[in-house]
Amino acid sequence: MMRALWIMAVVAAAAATGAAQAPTFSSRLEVVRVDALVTSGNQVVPNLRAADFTVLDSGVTQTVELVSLETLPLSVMLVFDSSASVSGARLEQLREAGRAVVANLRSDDQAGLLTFAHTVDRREGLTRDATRVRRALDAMQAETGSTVGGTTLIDACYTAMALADAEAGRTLLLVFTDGVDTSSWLQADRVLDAARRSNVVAYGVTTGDLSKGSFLREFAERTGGAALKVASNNDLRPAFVRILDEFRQRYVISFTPAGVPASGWHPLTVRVRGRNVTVRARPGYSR
Amino acid sequence: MRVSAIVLLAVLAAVTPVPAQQPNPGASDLVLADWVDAVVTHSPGTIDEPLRRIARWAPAMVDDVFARLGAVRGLIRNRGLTDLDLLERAALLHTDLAMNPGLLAAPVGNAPSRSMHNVVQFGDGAQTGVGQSVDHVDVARRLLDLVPRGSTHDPDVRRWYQATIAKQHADQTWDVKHVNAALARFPAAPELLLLSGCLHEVGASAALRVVIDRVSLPFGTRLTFGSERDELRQAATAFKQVLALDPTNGEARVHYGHVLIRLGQLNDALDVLRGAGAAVDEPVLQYYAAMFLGEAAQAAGRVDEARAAFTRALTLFPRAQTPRLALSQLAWQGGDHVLARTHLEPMLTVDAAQAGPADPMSLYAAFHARHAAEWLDDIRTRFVEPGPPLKP
Repeated sequence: MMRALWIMAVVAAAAATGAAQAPTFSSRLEVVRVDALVTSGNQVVPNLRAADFTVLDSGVTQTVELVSLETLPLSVMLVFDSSASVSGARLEQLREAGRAVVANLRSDDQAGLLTFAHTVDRREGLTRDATRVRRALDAMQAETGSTVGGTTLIDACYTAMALADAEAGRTLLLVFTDGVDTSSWLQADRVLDAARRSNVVAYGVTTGDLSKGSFLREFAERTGGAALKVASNNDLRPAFVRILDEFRQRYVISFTPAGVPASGWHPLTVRVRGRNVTVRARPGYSR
Repeated sequence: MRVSAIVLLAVLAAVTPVPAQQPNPGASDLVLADWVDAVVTHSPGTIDEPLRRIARWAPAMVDDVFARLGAVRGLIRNRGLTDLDLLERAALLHTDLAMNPGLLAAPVGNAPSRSMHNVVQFGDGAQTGVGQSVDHVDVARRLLDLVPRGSTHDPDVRRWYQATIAKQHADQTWDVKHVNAALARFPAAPELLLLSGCLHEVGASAALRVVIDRVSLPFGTRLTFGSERDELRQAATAFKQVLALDPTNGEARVHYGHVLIRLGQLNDALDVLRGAGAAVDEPVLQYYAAMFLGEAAQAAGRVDEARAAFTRALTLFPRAQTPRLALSQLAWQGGDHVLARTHLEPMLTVDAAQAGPADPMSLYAAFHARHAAEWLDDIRTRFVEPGPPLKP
């Protein structure tokens, strides 16, 4: 799920007169966007309208609209494990998967690349220049020969999320790891809490463990995304393309909060009327 | 059920095993003579022919030496050596073998041996194998156990333990049995207690838990590491003992504070860590003290103190990522996402020309072992005392 606050300020002022100054007042209209995936079994449910959705903000039903996806460019941050175990054929398949994502972007979309081993490194910031991102993918190397080692998955997910959070359009984090975190500084629970308050949607892909409680799975689900395990390196490319395709088919629902507290955490529930479907969206937002 | 201890060993290079040389039942005298010759002619600290020769020995051959150690006297007298000379030189030979596992032969067959141990190998958070080899650290230790306790050579044995444990840790080898043996002989040695604490602290770290919690072991063996909480408690006990024996030990204070955070004892951690930075001279230790103080303060809700501590760490090592991550996350938690990003930007802007070391946090697990090489050199000097030339 993705949330963005759009604020419109309306200010009225009276002209000043002699002894007394007329009062000024302002009111703000705040729009919240929710990025939601609707599926029936394994199939994305298409062609839904605003009237098909029910959105509860803090338990209060809201009036919703659908935002046209054509007006919202994508920002895709690739977040790739480059620790020692990601070398050889796995590295090549990962590179190929990254290239496939870049090849499927539109002219006003952006992409970037972060890698992580025992440190987090920005190989290319978010840019519309696909050539730069492809060059960064080509230059990607696994960390070998280091006596330090380590996989800073948690630090990398936080970094990617924090950097990408400010983007105006829709932001997808595409995270790959073949293992688990072994050397991050940041605590998993704090990063997971930050994730649910962020504007990004994260999808995780792994060849390793994805059992309940896995950080990658929790991180993705807190943002309204998902994590999937692939059986082999050859499955990376199709998985990445599928994720991008699925992301494009998500609905962006907007509403102006009404009848809810002015500040604090707002739990959200998104449903589709009269249909037995699954809706995946972030659990709430902060004001 | 035979139960043997497991040592966790990080694989740093590929090993091509050489089949072990098998004992010839009728050649015990030759085995012993061969061993004495290797002990006497090996140049400590070097990989020479005597070392390579003994590296190929099967565990049973080492057992044979111990069984007939009494007969060694006759072999060394005519070389002008005392019993103690032999024990210490032999300990050096086997120490050098232990520090060069790539030379060791893979045992053939399943014959039980007192001199053998199982080793779990791991790399990048995953188990990569389980192997068996002669436990040459244990062999050296058994030889030094024969040095009379309380003798004038006792301090050298103590230094040997310090040097070999540190070298193991520097090489990412975590051997609980060796540390326990050190403390059994020298229970009140602060330097050995510090090493023990660090071992158990690492045993509770994410890097090892990933392997320990998923380890696949041979039938009849068990791991010498306990649960994460067990390891943290053992670490805390060891560090607390160090500080009781030596209250000025700033390095122990830093480690103790870190372990207390992991145990959830935040107020105690804050008390320990607030003075830790001033108790150490090395910038790296001051950095660790600042980062852990920040971590404890943040967990205790003391945001300003946390921010000040992380900022101090960043001042010490401006290129380090960890303080910036910490400051960023602190800002994000406080709702200032712009400031959070501002903290991250410099750590991601690679400047090859930028001076100064990178992030010491990546070295924390083995930083306490930084003097291992010099301690080993010291032991080699102490054990091989100048004396009359050796007779061939």
